[in-house]
Amino acid sequence: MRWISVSFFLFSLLFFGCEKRVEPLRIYSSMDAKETKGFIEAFEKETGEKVEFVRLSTGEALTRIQSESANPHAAVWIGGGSNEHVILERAGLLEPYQPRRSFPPSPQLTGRMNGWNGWYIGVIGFGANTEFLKKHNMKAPTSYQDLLKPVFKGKIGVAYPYTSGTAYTILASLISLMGEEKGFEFVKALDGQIGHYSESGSACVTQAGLGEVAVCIAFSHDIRHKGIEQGYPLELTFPKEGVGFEVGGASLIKGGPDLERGRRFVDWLFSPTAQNLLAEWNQTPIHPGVQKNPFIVRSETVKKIDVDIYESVERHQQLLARWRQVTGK
Amino acid sequence: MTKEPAVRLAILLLGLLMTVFIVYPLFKVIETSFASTDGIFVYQKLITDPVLRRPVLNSLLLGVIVSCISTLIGYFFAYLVGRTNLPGKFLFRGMATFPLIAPPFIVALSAIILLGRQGIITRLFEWDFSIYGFWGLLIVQSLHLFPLAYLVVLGALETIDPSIEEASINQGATGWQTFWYVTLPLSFPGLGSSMLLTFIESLADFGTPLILGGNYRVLSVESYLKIVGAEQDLSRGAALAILLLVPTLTAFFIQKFYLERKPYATVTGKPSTARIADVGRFPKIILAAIALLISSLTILFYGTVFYGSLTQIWGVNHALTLGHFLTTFREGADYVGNTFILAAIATPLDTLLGLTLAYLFVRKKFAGRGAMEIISMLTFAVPGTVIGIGYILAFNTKPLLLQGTWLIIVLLFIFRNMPVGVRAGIATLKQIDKGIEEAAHSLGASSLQVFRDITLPLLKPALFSSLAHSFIKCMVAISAVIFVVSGRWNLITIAILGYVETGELSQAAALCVFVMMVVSAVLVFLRIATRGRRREFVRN
Repeated sequence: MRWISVSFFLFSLLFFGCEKRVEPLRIYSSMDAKETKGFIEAFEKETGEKVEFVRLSTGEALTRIQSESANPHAAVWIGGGSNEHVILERAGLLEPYQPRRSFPPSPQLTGRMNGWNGWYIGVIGFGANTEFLKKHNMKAPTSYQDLLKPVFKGKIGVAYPYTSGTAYTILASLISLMGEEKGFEFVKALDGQIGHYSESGSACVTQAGLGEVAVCIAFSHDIRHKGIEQGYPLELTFPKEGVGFEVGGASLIKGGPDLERGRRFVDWLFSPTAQNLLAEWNQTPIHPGVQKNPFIVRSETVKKIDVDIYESVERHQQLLARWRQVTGK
Repeated sequence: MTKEPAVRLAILLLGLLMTVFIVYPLFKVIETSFASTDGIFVYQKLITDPVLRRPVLNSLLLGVIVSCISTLIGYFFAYLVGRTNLPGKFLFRGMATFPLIAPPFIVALSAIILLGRQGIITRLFEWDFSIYGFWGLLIVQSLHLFPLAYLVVLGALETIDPSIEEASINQGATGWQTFWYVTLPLSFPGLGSSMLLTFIESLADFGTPLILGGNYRVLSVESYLKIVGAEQDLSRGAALAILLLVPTLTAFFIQKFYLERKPYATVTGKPSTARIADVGRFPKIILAAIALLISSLTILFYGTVFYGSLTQIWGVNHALTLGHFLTTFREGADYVGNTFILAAIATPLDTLLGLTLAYLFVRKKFAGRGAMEIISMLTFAVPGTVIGIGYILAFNTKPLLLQGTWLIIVLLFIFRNMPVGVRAGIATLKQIDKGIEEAAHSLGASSLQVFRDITLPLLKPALFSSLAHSFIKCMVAISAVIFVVSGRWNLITIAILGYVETGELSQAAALCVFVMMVVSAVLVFLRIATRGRRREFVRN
């Protein structure tokens, strides 16, 4: 056995010893890995820079940035809902920055202390299994009340709001739309329709695609990208009462390596190239010049519920506590 | 306390390594757990929280049953492979290591395809059955963990000197009596280690319950979600994970208490010419039948993964395609290569460390031995996420600035998987009579020489178990490494999980199959490399 370990060691020394390279810009991404690669390749092509990324779910990224704060290893975090960026901003872990861009920033899409900047929007929608609809000879749900139909009993999929940012976005927007009392009445009724909750926000898309549930409630870009574009029999619809949305954030991590290049990367996210790419991944860009893309979820087809991001973070514990009490889960 | 400087040095060095890479990160986690608003009362609050009572009971119940079932199945396979001359038993050998190779969540997916609400089997038999919850977890975890039991038990079984069984038969005992009164009691150390390990693994596993748990909530998931879920409560999540150590340590002490009282040594160094006795036709048929049943279940579940990797869209469009494999070869080679290098560095070190520790624990008396043995189990017992966070907290500042390097991934691999080597080594060593080593000692050999020339060769069965398990775990690890990977190192399971998250199940399956092929090849190589010449050795 000894020769094996010795040779592996020599081999590894060789492998690591020979390498000398330019340090790349390091980023964390909570977007889909392929999507992130698409953005990075476009950025590298345009600027000649090198970028390395680690893909982490929103919660993992938050935990990792918090735990690494004594000595951060990445300069930028992209993706992830604004709620998590707000938490980091409050903890003083973000480097304030106002990116250079050709259009005026909207206060709703920017951190109060400029800690984070929203560079795209994601909208909640319903994904209905078309085979299920065909079998029951019915149309896809287009309102929250539709979800309460008896045919959907045990057939709705969504995540726990205390495990998934997506599900919390749904909860917060329902409360904003209906008011707290009515909102929780609806939550209780909806709870009776849920087969089982999942932990991650987009897991129910696959579940609906496989027919394990009939309808999933998730981000429309997830329903499109992870469902319809993969070939699953799903139809995307939006509730006519209005939908919740997330602001996709980009942040500079305080004390991170090479913040100067990080700033250039964040600037680039607001450029027409990056904003056009967003549309290809079914997210809604915020650049006013790229609204003509056919993929974009437009304001004419979807009514957005305005939720105050900072209020949504503040009420987090309280809404979750009440949710757990109402549903007993 | 031993007088030999080499042994002393080894103990000191290992003690230091364990303090730095096990105790220190865990200490950091405990420190974090006190950072919540509850301060030092966080544990009291958690224990008395009625919301958590359910998950605690659920975890324990599942852990105990899974550990029993997987050890039972593992024992069947180990007995079949190690103690019978059944033709074609090498196939069962493969069957019994196979399930370890795939990341557990891919099996959870295949459970949904087969047994979900719209599952192939569910619809075929029109069952009204829900895979989401206790039963799903039981099936998938047992199927995933019995190979671990098999590996540990096999190491112990192969060490039992067949001449003992032969003696029993010669004195007129039936095959069954021999098994019941000789073989089975002699394999208790292996059984104990196996039950302990599978219990801990079931407790710490969160990948399967994350996908299949449904409304059956378990502690590991609660802890994981407290940390990375929307609650973002790092300190309470850490506290929950530390609580997971309680049942683990209890199980450890129970196992230790029962096994330390009796001697199990059968390999004594006296000439043994015995061959493995024939167990007779009837028991062989029963054993083969059970093994076949489990094997077909395994084949069914993993065959589904294989089939899924060849279909356009797993579970929806079953048109066959090789496209996912082409993508895998194009994109996956990088992942496999990266992971392979790290695993190849970690595995031998891991095993050497584990077996050396086992040797010291069983053969040497020194101050702090009990404490060291407990510490060696700790990293295995908490969910990987927590170890990962502990590693960030511990190794992100000077003088031990390792975060962001390949070394931290390797260290995490080594110290997270070491307990299997330790347990397999202990189980095997307990069966080897001290006399052999003492004889060498009295002939003037040093401890190092004895360990190298006598103990290590005798440990070959455990060596394979430990190498195989460690290598596999490195290849398919996920939860711990997610916090320490850097963009430079792309690990396979992270890629697979990425595909699962984006709904590209067939692509995920294809990458899984590719990994399984690579790992199988390495296992065959390891098996050949560690094939024992122990029998001849004992005879001479």
